[in-house]
Order: sequence, then structure tokens, then C-alpha cells
Amino acid sequence: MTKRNLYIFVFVASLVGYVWVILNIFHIAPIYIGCLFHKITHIPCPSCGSTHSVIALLNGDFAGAFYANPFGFVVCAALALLPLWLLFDCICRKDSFFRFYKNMEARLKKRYIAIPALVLVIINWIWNIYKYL
Amino acid sequence: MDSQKVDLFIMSNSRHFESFQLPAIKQQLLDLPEEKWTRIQYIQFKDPTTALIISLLGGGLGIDRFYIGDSGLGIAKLLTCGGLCVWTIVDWFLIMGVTKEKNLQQFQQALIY
Repeated sequence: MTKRNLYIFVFVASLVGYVWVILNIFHIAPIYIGCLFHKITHIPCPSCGSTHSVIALLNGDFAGAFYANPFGFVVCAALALLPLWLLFDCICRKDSFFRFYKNMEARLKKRYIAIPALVLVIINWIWNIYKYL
Repeated sequence: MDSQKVDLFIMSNSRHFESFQLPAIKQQLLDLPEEKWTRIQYIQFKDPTTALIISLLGGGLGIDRFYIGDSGLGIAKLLTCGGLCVWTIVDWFLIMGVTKEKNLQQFQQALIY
């Protein structure tokens, strides 16, 4: 992925993320958009509950956010940081985010990072299924 | 390089690349020194059909993106329930082309190093 494509993708993704959170805060999010996995199988996916978690975080309810889905912390941090990081890179004409992304991608392919991350996702998924059943 | 070897490579790997890329790949292989052949021969290309099946079954969890080596986008897809289901559906149509693009990148990298 080229630097330009990545930056456009992250910008659009952040924008959609903000719109989605705002729509959910005012309870006007369209019901036909959402988790396809949950719609088909009626089993929550590993990241179901992230929106609730982000909204709980915005209200300062850290325990509620953790209970809804711990991934919400990552999503909230990404939504808060990535637009600022992109802005910084665009203003200073740097490519620090692009280098970070490539570095992270290379690290994620290493087994000692990939396997613990996968285990965490599976544990979170099991907890998610247990909570929502 | 020997044109018979090149033809064999093209025949066995044609499904891993876009059809319009094949003449250029053939020319690059014909111009390739013999010592780089072994490296090219042992590249593990990703199968676009497998990527499509994974996308249909596990696209919502971003497994298709992890499969083709896009770990960053895989995480983004996983954390957003497959991009609120929209990205999952878009990827059903894009993933084969992206896989072929990734294969070409892998091939070009092997030619450089």
C-alpha cells in the first residue's frame, strides 16, 4: 500500500468511525449496517460491543467500557490519535505514520507477537459470547 | 533464462497473477540470470481462490486480509466488525485482485534481492 492510499484510507476510516459513534450516541444508526457475523450467526464477533465501549469511554465509564469490549480502548485511542497523527504528518511533510504502519505490519508477522495477540482475541471472543448469551 | 522453464513457470502460476501482467512477467523471467531462478521457483504465492473462500467465510473477522499479508488492514477489519459489514462485502469483490497484486509485489521483490 502506498503512503497516499494509506493516509486516505485512515482519514476516511476515522471519519466513518466518528460518524458511526455520533449516530449511535443519538440512536439513529441504521440497523442494516453492523456486524455481518452477528447478523448471520447470532453469535457476537470478537469486536462486537466496541461501539458501546467507545460511548462508555466518552462518558468516563471505564469499567463499563471494559465490560462492553476491551477492544473499545484500542478503537477509542485510534480514533483520537490517528487523525492528529495524519495532520501532523501532512503539515510537517513527514512519513512517520507510514513508517510506523510498515514497522508494525512486519512485527505482527513474527510468531512471538502474532500468537499471543491471537490468543488474546480468542479469549476476548469467548468472553464476548459468554456475556451476550 | 531457458524459455521452457519460463513457460512452465507461467503455466503453473498463471492463476496467481492478472492476465495482463503475464507478458511482462515472462519477459522479466527471460531476462533473468540463471542463479536467481531457484529463488523465484520457491516463492509461495497466495492463491486468489483460497483468499476469496476465506473472505466469504471469515471476511468479517479480517482473516482474508491476514492471509494475504495485510496485517494492519486485518486488525482494522477485525476491530470494526469487518468495517461495519460494508468493507466485508466490498472485499468479496476486491480480494482476488488484491491477492494477485500482492503476488506480483512478492515476485518483484524476489527479482530485486
